[in-house]
Amino acid sequence: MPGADGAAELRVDGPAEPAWLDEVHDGLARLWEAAPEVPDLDRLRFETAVIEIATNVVRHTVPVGDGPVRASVLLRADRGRLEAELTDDGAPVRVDLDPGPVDDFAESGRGIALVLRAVDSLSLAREGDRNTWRLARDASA
Amino acid sequence: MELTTDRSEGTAVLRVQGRLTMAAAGELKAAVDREVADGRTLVVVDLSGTAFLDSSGLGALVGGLRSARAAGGDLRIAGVGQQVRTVLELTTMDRVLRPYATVEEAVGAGR
Repeated sequence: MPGADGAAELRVDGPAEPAWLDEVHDGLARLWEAAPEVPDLDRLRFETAVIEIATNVVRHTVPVGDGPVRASVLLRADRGRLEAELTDDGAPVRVDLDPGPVDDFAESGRGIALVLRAVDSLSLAREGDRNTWRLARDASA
Repeated sequence: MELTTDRSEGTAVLRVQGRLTMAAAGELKAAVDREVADGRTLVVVDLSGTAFLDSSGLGALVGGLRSARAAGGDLRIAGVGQQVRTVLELTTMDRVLRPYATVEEAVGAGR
């Protein structure tokens, strides 16, 4: 799995369903095995952000034609830089990447704010016929 | 997620084993509501075996807190690990769901 340049990279594809989220969790565990130098603080924050976005894909993306939506996550750790690209072939999604604060007792609406605090950058674009999320975090060490 | 419950007079301790994420949030919320409806309005959620929390799981804890408070009780969390603490801190919800070190401390903290 470690690339020729020392980067660790792997991909997890599947239908955008809860079982895929389990596979993404497993994929992250494999990434850390291949990149043991990543500090705990960065690992936990990146992992939290990736799962949050993957869950958003499973929960909110609707298929264009006959289901299910196909999703893919590419995970990469390269000399302290952590990157994830999540894409899916669902209908275009619109997500507010600058959400306002939610009430302390609200039961939802914290996901994107959590991601924004856990990583250095987050973007969502429609590229061709795929929704494309990109996340990156530079390790603090 | 695996959920086990210890009940005593007025108190329920719910132990969450595994991941408290989208797939498990509804089950936890329903379990809290059931305990509160049965009069166990001090609910302690033991997260010492919880490997991962996401915003859906956090939402379930907040929902449970609302149910317990509405019945004159409280919901407290105990034994949080590093990842759970990360989510609480990044969302600043550790102000609202203050983590107790142990279940015993959470139960004993008064009402």
